[in-house]
Amino acid sequence: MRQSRFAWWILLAAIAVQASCAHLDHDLGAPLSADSLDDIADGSHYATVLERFGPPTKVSALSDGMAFLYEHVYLVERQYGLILPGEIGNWIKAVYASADADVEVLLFIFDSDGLLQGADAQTWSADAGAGMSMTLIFSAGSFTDTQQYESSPTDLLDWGRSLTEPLLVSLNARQSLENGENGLELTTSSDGIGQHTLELKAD
Amino acid sequence: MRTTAWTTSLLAAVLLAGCARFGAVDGVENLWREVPADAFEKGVTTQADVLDLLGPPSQLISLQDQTVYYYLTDVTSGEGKIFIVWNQISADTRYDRAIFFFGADGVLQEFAFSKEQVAR
Repeated sequence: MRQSRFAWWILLAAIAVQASCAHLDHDLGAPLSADSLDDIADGSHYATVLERFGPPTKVSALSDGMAFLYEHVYLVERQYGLILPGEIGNWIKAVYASADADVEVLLFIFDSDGLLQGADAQTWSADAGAGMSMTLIFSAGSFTDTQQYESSPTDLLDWGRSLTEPLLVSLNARQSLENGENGLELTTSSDGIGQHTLELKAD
Repeated sequence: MRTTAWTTSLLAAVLLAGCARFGAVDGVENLWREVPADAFEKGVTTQADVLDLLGPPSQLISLQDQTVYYYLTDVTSGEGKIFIVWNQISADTRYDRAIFFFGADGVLQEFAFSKEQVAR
């Protein structure tokens, strides 16, 4: 009996010093009710959409109307830590992290009279990235790059900062998809596509 | 002797456990939650009235023949539990929004507040 208890202590202690894990989650906004999209017919006035869903996450002018985009993102990151062997293991541990994102999107396109031309809802889960880190034993933080999922609508407030961006990014700002006058892009979009490809040349 | 060492290690691990709480507020102050509901009236309220009541919007959007005032408050709160072996950090970001559509004459056409709201 005593031997069994001793074995349990050893096992517990081994777990405590050999490995650890962490769970990080971030819920951005409220879940969308995509089902209620069925009640909104083409030709509905934009006031109907505002009444049902409230202000959109993003709104933009289009050449012949406007668009509303609603988004909800839920991020989960899992981390698995392992203490390194030897003296260094007393202070440093290796951490592998992977993140997933659950994304909900509602898009509404209106004509110049404010009447609905088209709407769609999409829900998907994406691999939001993975990362590896060497860190002090007692730390807990994100090791994956999920910034593109977490960019806030308040990024729009960073007017002054745009003046300090690299030249090509500044020049491209006139066609920005974030200022509400040139179209929209999903928060989850990569910088490597479409309108942003011009900015990549600055890197 | 060895048992004592392991027990001490375990005890130290338990004592080193901790927790954390964090938060941040971004955007404008959500004054639209304080203003009486009848303060905004379609066909009557003007851009000047809204500016007077709510201050500068987070975003001002120019549509073809409309101007949009978009107000946003963004509140993030979270907590962390550090148990060495198992750690958990949760964050929750909530958005409180108000949007106003004005015609070319500067008079309110449509407006809406988010169902989701945050405490001031």
